Amino acid sequence: MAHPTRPTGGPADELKADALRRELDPAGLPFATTDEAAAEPVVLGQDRAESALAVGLGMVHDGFNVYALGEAGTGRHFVVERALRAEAGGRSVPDDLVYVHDFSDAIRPRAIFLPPGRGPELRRAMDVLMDEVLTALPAAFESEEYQARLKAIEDAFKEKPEAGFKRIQEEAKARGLAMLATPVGMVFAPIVNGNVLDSDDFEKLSGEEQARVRGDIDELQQELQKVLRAMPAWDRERRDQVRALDHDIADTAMGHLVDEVQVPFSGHRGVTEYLEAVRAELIESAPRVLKPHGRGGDPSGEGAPADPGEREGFRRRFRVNVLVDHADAQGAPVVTESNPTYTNLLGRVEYVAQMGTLVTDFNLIRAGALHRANGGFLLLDARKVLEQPYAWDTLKRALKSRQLRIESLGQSMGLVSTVSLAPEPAPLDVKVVLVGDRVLYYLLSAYDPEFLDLFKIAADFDDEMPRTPAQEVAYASLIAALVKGAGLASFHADAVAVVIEHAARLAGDAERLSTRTGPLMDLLREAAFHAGGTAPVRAEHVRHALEQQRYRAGRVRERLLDAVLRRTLHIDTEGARVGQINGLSVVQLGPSAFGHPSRITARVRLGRGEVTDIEREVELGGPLHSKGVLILAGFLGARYAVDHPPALAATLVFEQTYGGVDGDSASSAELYALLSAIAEVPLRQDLAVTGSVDQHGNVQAIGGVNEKIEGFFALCRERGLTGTQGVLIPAANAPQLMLERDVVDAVRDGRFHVYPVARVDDGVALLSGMDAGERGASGAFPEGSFNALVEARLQSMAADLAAFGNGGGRGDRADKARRKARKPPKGST
Amino acid sequence: MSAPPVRLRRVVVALDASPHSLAALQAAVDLASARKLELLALFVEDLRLLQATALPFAHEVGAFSGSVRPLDAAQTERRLRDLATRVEALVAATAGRAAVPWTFRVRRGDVFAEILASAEAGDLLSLGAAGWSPMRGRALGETAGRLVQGVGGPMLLARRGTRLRLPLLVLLEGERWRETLEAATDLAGEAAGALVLAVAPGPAQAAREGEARALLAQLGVGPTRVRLLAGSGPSPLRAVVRREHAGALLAPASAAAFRGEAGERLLAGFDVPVILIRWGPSAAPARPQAAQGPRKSPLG
Repeated sequence: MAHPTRPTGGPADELKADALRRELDPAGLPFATTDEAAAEPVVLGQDRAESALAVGLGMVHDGFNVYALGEAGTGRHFVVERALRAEAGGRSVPDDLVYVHDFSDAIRPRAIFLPPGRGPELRRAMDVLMDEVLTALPAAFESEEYQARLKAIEDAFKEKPEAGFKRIQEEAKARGLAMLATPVGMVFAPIVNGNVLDSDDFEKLSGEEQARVRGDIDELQQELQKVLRAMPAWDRERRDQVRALDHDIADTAMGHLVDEVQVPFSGHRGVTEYLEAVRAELIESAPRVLKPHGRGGDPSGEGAPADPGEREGFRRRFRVNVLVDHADAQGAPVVTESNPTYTNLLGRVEYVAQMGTLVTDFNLIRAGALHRANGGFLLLDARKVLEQPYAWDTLKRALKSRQLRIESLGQSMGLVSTVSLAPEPAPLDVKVVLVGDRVLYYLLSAYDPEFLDLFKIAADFDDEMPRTPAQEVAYASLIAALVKGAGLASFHADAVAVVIEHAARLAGDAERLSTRTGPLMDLLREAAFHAGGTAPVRAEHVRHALEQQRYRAGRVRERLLDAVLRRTLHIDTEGARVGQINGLSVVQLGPSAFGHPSRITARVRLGRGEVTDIEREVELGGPLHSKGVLILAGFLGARYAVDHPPALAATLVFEQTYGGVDGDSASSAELYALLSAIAEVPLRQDLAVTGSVDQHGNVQAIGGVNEKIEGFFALCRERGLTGTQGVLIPAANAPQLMLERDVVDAVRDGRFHVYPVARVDDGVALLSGMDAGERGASGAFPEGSFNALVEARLQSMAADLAAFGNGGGRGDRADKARRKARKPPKGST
Repeated sequence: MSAPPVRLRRVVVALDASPHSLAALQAAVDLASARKLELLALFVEDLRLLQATALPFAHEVGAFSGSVRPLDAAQTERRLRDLATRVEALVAATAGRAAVPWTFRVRRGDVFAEILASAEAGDLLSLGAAGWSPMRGRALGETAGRLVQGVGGPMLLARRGTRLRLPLLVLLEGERWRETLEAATDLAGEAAGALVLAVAPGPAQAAREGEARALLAQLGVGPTRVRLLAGSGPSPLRAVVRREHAGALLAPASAAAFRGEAGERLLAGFDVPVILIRWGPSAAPARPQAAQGPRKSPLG
């Protein structure tokens, strides 16, 4: 958009000083100092992103997660967080999440969701319950009632085998047999007078007697066998009865305690089921763990009393691990995870060292950012997520499956098969907002097939906005808010104006303002620093800060300038030369950029129409540069050598450059140098040129125009401004000019010049001091014009080439024709 | 009426490798070590068992499985030899640890008779409350039962899982309570202060407490706790042992608490080792059938 006040001169008319920099009148700002402005932070120029966020955050469907893309410092975090808070505030608080022991499957802890704040309540209730169980139950087992009932059971079962043995013993005695014990069993033997009958005496018995003894022994053996075989069953029956008694006592002692926990959670199915499991488990295992030592124990040594470690382990199983507690929350959670590692996102199961081994239980399950953000929003930095091993895959898997499954990295990759916890997966309902740069967004779009399905909304943050008077006022408010937000001393309107001008300069365009508030914030802070605590901060403080920034970043620029001044690098800023011109390039070093002149030279000789770009030959030139050279060769051939073959061989080079060159912004300069070499007309060296050309000879816009002009100006100023020096820029770049004040001042004083150029011929006229010449009705260029010289030289070369091809050397006729066409330029040296 | 005191000279422990007998071995070693006595460990190969298994139709009923399997004398001999070897190794280890001089002797014959024959005047006899019995220690073993009823020196009964320690609870009952008390002080030796007296109920119970204290003072034994028993059955005795955290009980074998089936059960299942002081049950004690006559020399 052209500025209405911009003067539009003729092709070669230089730009007026006013057109070189669009300043801002502080009087137009709505405040005298930032103190008077509202402190409400605002964001400007991000309508597109804000509308995308509104859609992305508002939609509840799957996959409508948001990627906020844009340059750093464009206020992405601020805008996103503000949008998130606004959206989250209107939503309901999600449930608390607790993990409890699953008594039927110890390695799969159960997840229970509870209304906000009820998670910690359940934990407290269970802690109180266990305190009471641990005191009530041992007392119940000490009670007279329990002891009496236990003794009754024990006595009843002792009597059974005793009676059996006694009966057999008496029966044996009655039949004259003894029952003898061995370490492994019992033996029956006939007895006479208290002595065991030996085999000789036995043989002496009558056959009938012998048969009777053997029969008796057989019978008693079988009787004994019956008693012995019944013993394990009796024992089991006894244990069952003791266990039933234990359960009865435990239920009586604790049942009401569990009921008390139950009451406040009566409507909650998950808790009710859990508490029923707790009741069953307490009745089943509490007697074993909590029965006092040495009393009421199993006489056979089974069910040995628990040690303190087991008691503690028993207690731990009844704890409640509150992973997410929303007790004090307002609205849905907005969670920012600054270190999105695999475990920080997904949660983890921790281990404790115990006797040299690592052990864990459900109490050691820890929440991840996804748990905390469940039911709300999770804000992550895209680059950090991608930098963390497996974090990106994990995030996608969770979003896709809508489940939170806590597992170690080793488990998820199938590398570890040791038994560990596998907590019950929790349903996941979260909206993720990634904040990242554009490159990552486009790379992910291209290479990750799942990315666009999961992040359907791109909130694209612009890095510049139009500069209108209304926007300038709004921008001033933004700066005031930044100043207040950072707690800086107030800024005067003149200081704010300079900051806004700098924002235009950051955008590289007088008609645009940078939306990157990051660098502006740095500038504000530095200006306040230079103000030394005095308020308000004034324009000179801001300018000083800018100078300091430039100075700090200026080492390479100064070295280059110094090399030129010392003639290490050869750049002419006076006089005229054939086949030589000052081109302009921009050197980008980190966040700062500066312009620098380069000497471009061209040489021609007889050849077959090829223009050799030396930069390309040595692979120092980039593709855009090569393209520019080929375009100018196209222009040359089409304009001057339509009816004869090109008989020219030309070489073009950026002299004394030792790094790469890219971009087509020097193509017009190269064309001028080449035309000068062909026509053998010297070009002014007090001018520098930037701009690309098309095949029709139009000069086209380029980037970094401000830095380029300032680069050449700096050199000329160091050598002393002659009053004739200046820069040719594409006319299309003129509205973008936002030059430093010293350049503007020099132009205003007529000591430096900026020429907008629309066509190559305009540039030729400026550089050569000759009329470029247009083809007349006859189709020929006016005699004595620059273009006529070019054409004549090319024709003569074609003739020379033809003659050369026919075996002759350079013909006198052609030489004469060339000399005739040539006319000495004005003011050449 | 009391004979001149015979000093304790030796501890004899009868072993059959059953868990109870091993507890008796430990108690015997502890006592011998504390009183600097010698230890005689006796393993008796039961002649009746050898004879019984020599019969052609001898079978054994497995104590655990109840299965009936043939058993012959050679097998029995081998088993007894193995047991004797095991027992000797255990004696060597246990006594060796306590630096008690020991002798190991294997006898073949009637178990009861052989034990009696090995015990001499000044011996304390230690044995398990039961042997290899399917009753699993719920009743007193046959040998132990006969020895308790018999006459002789002091006798120690131990059951699996118990160990001899202080304080020693002394039951003063009957007319010969002074001898019981003297035997206890003699047994406790330098640790005589660690006695607790339990006076059996009776018309002279309170007076007996004073007399006992006087006698202890006379014997040079320091202050001692005295408990007056509320009854003479097993329960009050068991209760006082628990309450006093007694490590052993010393009592006359004739004590009322040990009589009858309940008494036998008490002895078989007592929580602590029991040391019995024996006199003849009547004026005419039955002489056991043994190679040597039993020594009738009650201690103290």
